Amino acid sequence: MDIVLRSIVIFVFILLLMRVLGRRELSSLEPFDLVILVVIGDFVQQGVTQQDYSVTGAVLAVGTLGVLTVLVSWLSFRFPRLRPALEGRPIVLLEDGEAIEGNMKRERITIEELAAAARLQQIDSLGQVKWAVLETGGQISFIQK
Amino acid sequence: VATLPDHLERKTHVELYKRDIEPTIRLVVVLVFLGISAAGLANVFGQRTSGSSAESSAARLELEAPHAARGGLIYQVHFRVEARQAIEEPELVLDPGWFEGLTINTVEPEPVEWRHVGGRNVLVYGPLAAGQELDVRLQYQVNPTAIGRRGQGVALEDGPDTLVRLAHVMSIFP
Repeated sequence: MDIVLRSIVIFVFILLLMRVLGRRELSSLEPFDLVILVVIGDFVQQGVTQQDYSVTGAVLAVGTLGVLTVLVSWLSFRFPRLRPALEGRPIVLLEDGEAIEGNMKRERITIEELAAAARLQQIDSLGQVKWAVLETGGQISFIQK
Repeated sequence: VATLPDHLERKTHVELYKRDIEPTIRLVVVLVFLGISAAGLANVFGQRTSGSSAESSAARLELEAPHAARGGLIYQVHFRVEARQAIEEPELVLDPGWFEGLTINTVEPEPVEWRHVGGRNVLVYGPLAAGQELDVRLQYQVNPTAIGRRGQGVALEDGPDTLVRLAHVMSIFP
């Protein structure tokens, strides 16, 4: 029973952590971020399974996380009012080539980062961009003029 | 003004109307995490040992043990008895809380006799002369399912006489 409870606690904790970390940190995955995510996974595993090396324990822990993931996804689909809390909402960062400073500052994104993200989509100047939107998954989508 | 892509609204996604609360919530959660980390640094969640003692005209009893621990942690408890008068049959009488949900890996030195009296464990050692000291160390590990507070009182007795008693409480976090 404990392993299921521990899995639930850790799931809620990770959900909260991912929501407060910031979308850019999650989507950019620089080498340092990647290492940190792997380390987080290692710490979490120890906290959930502890001294339990059994297959049953692994099935209980992974099964619980799987069920909770589907549950959160279903809640988000079924109850639109919960969606902003569970997934967040897109934020427009740039309109007609002009950065929206307040929104950029809020998401801790610099104009250089925005330009780099645009270059990755073969856009050489932000002046060509009609809309830049920070999506809920952390990616920046660009719509050209 | 350019037309926004489908499913995006100027008020909600550009002007972020009524979304001022979001950074505040994020900050509050981060502060909660910070508070938890700070509490960890301050030993609220345990493992670090602290000392306490009690004494009487017959003996002094010192205890070094953690006030908190977490599932799976290994730690040491140290009892030190300082005899101020001859003690014929020194007994460390441990409350049940010293054993509930905890695994004892070793006891050093081994008691001459280990009795159970009224739910308490009695570790009996050889006689102590006045001025002599007895150091007893127990190596513990917390069972992962053990959670909550437990009284861990300990008494030093000499046969039927209680020479000194020390209260200790331990919290176990999941």
